[in-house]
Amino acid sequence: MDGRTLKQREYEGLRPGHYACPGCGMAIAMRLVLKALGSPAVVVSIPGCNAIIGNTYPYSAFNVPAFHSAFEIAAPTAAGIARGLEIRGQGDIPVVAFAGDGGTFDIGLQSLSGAADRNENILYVCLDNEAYMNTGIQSSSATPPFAWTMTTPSGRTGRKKRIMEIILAHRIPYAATASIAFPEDLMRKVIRARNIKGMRFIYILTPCPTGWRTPEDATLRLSLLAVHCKVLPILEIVEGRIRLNMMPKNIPVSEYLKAQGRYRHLKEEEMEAIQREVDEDWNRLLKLTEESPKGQSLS
Amino acid sequence: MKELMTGNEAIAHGVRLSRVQLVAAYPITPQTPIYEKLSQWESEGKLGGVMVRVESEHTAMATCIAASLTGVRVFTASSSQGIALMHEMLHFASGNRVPIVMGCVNRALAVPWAFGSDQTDTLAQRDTGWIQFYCEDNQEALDTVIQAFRVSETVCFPSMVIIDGFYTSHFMEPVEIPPQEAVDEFLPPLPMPNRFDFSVPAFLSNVVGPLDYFRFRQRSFSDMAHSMEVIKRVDEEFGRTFGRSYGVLEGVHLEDAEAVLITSGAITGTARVAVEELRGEGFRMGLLKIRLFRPFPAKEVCRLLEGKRKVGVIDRNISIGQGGIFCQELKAALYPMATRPLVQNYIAGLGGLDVPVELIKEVARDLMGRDREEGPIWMAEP
Amino acid sequence: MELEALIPVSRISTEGFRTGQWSPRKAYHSEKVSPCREACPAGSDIPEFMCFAAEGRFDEALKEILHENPLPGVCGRVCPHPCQDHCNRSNLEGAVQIREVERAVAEYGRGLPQRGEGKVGGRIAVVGSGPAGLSAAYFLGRLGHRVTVFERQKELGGVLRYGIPEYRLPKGVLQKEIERLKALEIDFVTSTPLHRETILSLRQDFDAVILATGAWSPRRLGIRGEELQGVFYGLPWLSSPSTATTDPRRIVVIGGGDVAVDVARVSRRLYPEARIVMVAPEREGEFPAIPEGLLEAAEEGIEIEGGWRPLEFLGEGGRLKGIRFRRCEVHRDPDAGTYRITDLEGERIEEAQMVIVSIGQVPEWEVLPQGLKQGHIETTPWGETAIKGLFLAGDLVNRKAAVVEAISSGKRTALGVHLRLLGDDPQKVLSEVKIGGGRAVSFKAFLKGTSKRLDRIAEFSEVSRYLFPECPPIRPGKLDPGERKFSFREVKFGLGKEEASHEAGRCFNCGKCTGCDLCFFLCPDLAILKGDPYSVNPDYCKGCGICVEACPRDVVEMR
Repeated sequence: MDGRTLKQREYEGLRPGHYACPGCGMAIAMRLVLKALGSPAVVVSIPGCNAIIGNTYPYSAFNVPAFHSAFEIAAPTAAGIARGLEIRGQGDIPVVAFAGDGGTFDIGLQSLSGAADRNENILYVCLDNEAYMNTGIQSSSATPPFAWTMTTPSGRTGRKKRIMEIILAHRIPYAATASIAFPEDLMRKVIRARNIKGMRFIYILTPCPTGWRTPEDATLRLSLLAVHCKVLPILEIVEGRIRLNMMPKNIPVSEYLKAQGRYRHLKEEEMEAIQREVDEDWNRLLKLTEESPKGQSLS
Repeated sequence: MKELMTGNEAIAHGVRLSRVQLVAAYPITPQTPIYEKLSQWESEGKLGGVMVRVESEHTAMATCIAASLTGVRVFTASSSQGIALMHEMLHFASGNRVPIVMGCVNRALAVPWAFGSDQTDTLAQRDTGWIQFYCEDNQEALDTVIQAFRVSETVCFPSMVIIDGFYTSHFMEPVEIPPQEAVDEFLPPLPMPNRFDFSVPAFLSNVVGPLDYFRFRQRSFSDMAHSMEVIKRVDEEFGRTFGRSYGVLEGVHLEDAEAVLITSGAITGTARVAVEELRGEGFRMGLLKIRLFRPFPAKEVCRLLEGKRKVGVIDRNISIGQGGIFCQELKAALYPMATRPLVQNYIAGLGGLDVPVELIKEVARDLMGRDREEGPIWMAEP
Repeated sequence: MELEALIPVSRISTEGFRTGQWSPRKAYHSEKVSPCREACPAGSDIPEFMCFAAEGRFDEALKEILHENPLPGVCGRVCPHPCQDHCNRSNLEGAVQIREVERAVAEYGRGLPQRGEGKVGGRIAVVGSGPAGLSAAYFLGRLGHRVTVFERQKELGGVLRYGIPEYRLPKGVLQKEIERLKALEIDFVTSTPLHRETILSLRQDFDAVILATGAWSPRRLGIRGEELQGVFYGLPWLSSPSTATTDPRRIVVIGGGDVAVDVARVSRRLYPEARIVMVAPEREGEFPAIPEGLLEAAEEGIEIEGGWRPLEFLGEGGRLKGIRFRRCEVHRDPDAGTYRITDLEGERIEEAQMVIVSIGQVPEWEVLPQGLKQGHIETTPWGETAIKGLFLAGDLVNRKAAVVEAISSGKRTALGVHLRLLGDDPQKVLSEVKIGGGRAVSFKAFLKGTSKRLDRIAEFSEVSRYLFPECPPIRPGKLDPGERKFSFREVKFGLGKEEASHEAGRCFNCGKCTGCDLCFFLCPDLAILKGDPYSVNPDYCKGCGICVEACPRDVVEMR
């Protein structure tokens, strides 16, 4: 479909009046996830932009009960709540953990791994804005190579961890990547995940105008380019089998990079290096993929 | 009916009898037999609760806090490095006012690496807002677990039930296992509500401003102070129900004592023998066991030491830059007294070093011959 | 212990924070005109009818088209589709096949136009039942006037019947289109030629007279031999193709326009064995005819030669034998409207038994009232002339001479007549319903008003390149050329219902809010309010502009 009609859902899990920066990709992602998750549900929020969006005492931007946990323990917090609810006979109330890239790739990686190993019955949503944005744009292991941050002013020298491969290695029942540019697909995945028992992981790339040095309205375009430049493959991993949901239009990654201020200093050879890596990663992914779409449909 | 069991097993029985619903734990010497015993009962269908075998102690405490918020009864256990790793989460638990009970098996903190009993691991957490019980022996350990759940669920603070590594945890003693029905009556199955209210949703424990932070801490402080009464009442009721009670302090021969030794944990058992022997040799020795360390029974301690001339505090722990921690706390508690006794600190048993009767008698002789305080005296061997 | 007070429990909703105050910029939903609509001389509201067609609601789609164009079945076959040339979807993978969908809507949609209840109820005479005349009669009928159409031929349709061959516009289709008009209680008087005085005297019985007689007089070459037997002229020959010349071996068609193409293709069907060649002074590839017509002609074995002009027709015994051509080139200035042929070196003689000269048509001046300046008639944009009560429409005033231009002209003239009868100012009123920068006016807006900004054209939204998967246009099939030579069956097939809906589904609906909800879902601050129309809550809109970026139809804008 051409995006002509998306199913009309009245329920909202996020309330307006929150303090996200104008144009925040994370706010869109949180809104869509919570909208699809429905009520009742329990949200686990951890330090980072996602908690700021949740707001401070005595206010809440969540339309469902939520808990502000510590930075590195989004997964076991959600797991503890889920187990507690199960013991109390309310095990069908979904528990969702929101974590940023820091809380997933770095400080939270251990506890995420443990929860995945135990196949805890939680939905873990990683909202990746590719740096520690809330504390003022410091680099994380999700910051892509050559990107500017306050702690990598000459550009990051590390390479972005392949988080989906890490998740794949844990053999959980369901994992997926999603983009706010395709809200119907994102919500469909949340609904699908909601109905599965065990550990579910959804990764969403959430552009950040403040940290990526882009105009406020660029969030959608960047999300689209990330998908079509093959930087963010849209896929599902069901019982360990990778299924691509859409084929990208194969746009050169330079289109995506040129649109971001954090890459303004990028040299020609660095851009080429990024293109090579994007292509290599894509070809790798194709080899691992078991199912691809025949045509292109993301609706 | 008494059974021979180790201190670790005793704790495990206390957990089982308390009908704990979730245990999240990570193995560390010398706690592992608690974890293993509970796991074995779980696999035999005898536990009633679910074991969550987590990947670190920090995660164990995180899981317990989260589950406890839904109102289920939770337990964990750890020692040494594990307790240290949980430090952030211990503040978190107390701040969240959740009634977790943790079995702590004292063990020396690295570096240097050592595995024997040393109270520094739990005492280093004294600022985290947990109730701390230092148990002398295996029976007390089992009983205190049950008491701790009752106390915690009444005052909404987490509790540590602390025993000495190896000396208590691994040594067998005869222990009376209280009947399940009596425990059920003493400790109701699910007194805590689910803090997640689905009818009027709330964001729990989110960021506060400075004034609100101040007020929440003030509330916690005040609540912790009031929990002293609850702890005493519960212990008395336990005594009436099960025939055993321990108090927050226990005085031995204090009435005519000229010099009082102050101990905690397993050393107390040895000290009882030493004091008897010394009294047999004609010395007017007394013994004060400190069972409750947090909240610190300051008023009670002052009352019991009123008129005593000399006090010797044996610390199986050390705060580098100050001294033995029980001694510090005691001195602060005694400060308001019009006439204060001489208080001398003795450091013994660190790293699991044995503290035999002879060593304690040497401490006592030193104390009695002393007319001046000096810095902590390190007593390695007799 | 009262658990509520022990830890921070935050229940108060953030809805109390009017974060819209962070920025003075606010988003607005403002529907506009699509570029295809601006390009359409009739001002057809393409995004509107595409919505219905995409859902298979052909009746409603037809009703929508009929607001602006009474002859969708005709235009759906013969229109040169300027709409498609401006389609925003061509920035992605290919323009929407708007004409094919229009044809399908006319095919599958049912429903008749409603005659209006006119306050004025004037009596209007329309002379000529070609597209301009039918269009004028139609819109006047919808406005509640009593219309009488005078047609000199036996049948209605004008150039539609007598100028466009069966294989392009089947007579059955034309009849169905005309039948639809009869619901408006229009009187059709056929076989009634009128001229000069009778035309003027109509003004006694009618409140206004609209002349829509078209351009039926063929241009002459003015060269030697034009009087030979075997020399014919395009449009008259098409109206009744003469087979007087028996078995011509070679037929030459002079001219490179659409009439010339039709002439060549009709000849092909009448004389399947003959060698037929179209010759025009323009270079091949620059013929003024629609490219698809030239392609179909070539498929039917018609040769095409450019760069020659005829010098004289050679005869023998009064009959055409051959044509002498001279090499030439054309300089065309569309803005100035000039057209100049320059001779080059080189001549040749082409054998031919039949030549059909199709170099354009002009009005039959001798039939029209004097007082209309010959050659170029002055009218207002709504066709009013200097002669009181006399209005013009169609090829009489248009240089462009396409069916859709005639329909557009008829609509404007009808509205002009209507407004004059009401005593209103056509200049003022029509400027309010003018669509973009083109000639078209919106009848629907005139009748019912509109919330759309008719003066703003929707731009292509760059994100559409990435938002939508590629979905190439469905092009309908054609009759095999081998078969076409021997029959006047319609060459182009229409789209099936599903195909038409699918193709209509490719339309972005530029400038029209379709309720796709992209802005709604992508607003980080939940500031978009669904409704009819959509609006933005200024309490929460932080002015980020994501909704503006997201709207593939350029409906949302930032102020």
